[in-house]
Amino acid sequence: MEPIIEFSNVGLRYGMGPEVLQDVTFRIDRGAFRYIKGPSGAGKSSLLRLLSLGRLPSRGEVRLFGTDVRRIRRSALPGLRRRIGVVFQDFRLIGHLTAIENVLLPLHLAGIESHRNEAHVRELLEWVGLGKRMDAKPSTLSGGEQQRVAIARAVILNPEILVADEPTGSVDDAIGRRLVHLFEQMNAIGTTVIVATHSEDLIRRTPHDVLMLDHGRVTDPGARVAGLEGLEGSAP
Amino acid sequence: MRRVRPLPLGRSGPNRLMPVILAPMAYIATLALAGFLVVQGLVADWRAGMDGVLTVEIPAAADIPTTQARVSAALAALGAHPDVASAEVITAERADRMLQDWVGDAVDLSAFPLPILLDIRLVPGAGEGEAAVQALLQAVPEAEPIRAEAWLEELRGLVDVIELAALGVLALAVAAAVATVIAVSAANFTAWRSVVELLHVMGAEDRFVAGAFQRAALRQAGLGGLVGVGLAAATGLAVAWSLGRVDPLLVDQFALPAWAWWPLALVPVGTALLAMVTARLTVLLALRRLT
Repeated sequence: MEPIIEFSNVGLRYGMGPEVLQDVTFRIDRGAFRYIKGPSGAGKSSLLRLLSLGRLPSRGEVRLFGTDVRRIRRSALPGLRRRIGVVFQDFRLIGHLTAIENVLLPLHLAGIESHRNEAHVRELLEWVGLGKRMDAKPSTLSGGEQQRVAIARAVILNPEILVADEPTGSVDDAIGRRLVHLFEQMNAIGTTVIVATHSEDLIRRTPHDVLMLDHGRVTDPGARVAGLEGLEGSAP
Repeated sequence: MRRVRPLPLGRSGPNRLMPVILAPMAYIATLALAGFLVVQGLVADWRAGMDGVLTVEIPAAADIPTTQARVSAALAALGAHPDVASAEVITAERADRMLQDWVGDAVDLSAFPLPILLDIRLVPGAGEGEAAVQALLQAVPEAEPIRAEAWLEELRGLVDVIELAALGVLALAVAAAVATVIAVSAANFTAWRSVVELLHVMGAEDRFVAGAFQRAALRQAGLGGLVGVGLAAATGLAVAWSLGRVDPLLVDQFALPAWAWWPLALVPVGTALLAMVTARLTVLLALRRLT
């Protein structure tokens, strides 16, 4: 299978601080579903930042879609970023925009606005259970509703890679299952899905390979058995 | 389809300050530019007034017949010269009137031995009339041409200082405006940083983000420029009114030449464009630091 993400000896530091990621090496094939798991401070958010091109590595090589992201022109980065959908742990909805406008934003940035797209956005918001809250501002939405808007925004462009940070952290079980089902549906049609999570329950219910991180290093790059060691009821 | 505006910068605090800070700078810049243009107009008027005109002084001799002989010889020499269109004596009454404008009515000018002045008009293309002056000096060696150009050159030093001072004030106002826009744009960028970072990760082009900031700067600086020029125009009217009360002729003398209104009218446009370019460059530099 063709790798869509390759990290080789990647290091990341912020400013002059210590390296928060050290010698990270792994690869993820196109169409894979992978969890990233590790204790707080393990470097999960920093790894997701690299995966979403929010940062470039301080050293080493990060290849996304077969391209070394440190060697391409800066002007080519936005095009790569639009192929990646990101669900942030803190949602990061834009406060002065309504729910539907937040979801329309990636289309606007990609320059593909049309009435048909707006209908598609409405359909997606209906699907995530926000049909009656489309014109609500984020401040009037509950945590779960905000998260569903964030997920709708991340998937609206049918990204090739979907990166989610604790996507089920603020929603109840039913919604959580529905969201993971959405991720699996996207994965089934070819989207590579990467989910950072603390939830062993989530990993147990929808088992996939796990990339284990600890102290900024990959302790296991993704063997399912190794990744689920110690997790009761883990999938084979 | 509805328009999505992720960066409505017009509402942000730092941006609201921009017209308030830029209006006084546009005011100062407009006054400095107006001062520069008024001085330029004055010098141009003086030059135009002296172009093709020559004044010659014939010193009075000990006796009247000798003086009259000198004047006749001078007029004859000048009248015969091809560069001279006309030459006439400035009458004592006219000379008195011209002097009275400067010294006032209290002084009895008849008590002074005033020289006889010749007003000479040169034909077009005669330059400064040097050939005619040489012919005159051959005929009347005592004649003394009054070289207005030399006087104007001496005045030129003062004019240069005034013009340099005006341009210096203008340059300072522009530099202060640029610094202000940089500071406001940087503050704006900081205020909207979380949204900018989000747009960045979502694949926004740098020009999309910079465009939002530059449009806001254009609008706000244009408003500040208009207010500044409006206040400067009010100041100009007040000065003209005050000059008119002293002497109505002064208003004409210090009036802006017609062509000079254009550069002044362009001050708000210049302020807006300067702010737009400065904001764009500031934000593009800040974006480069994001990744």
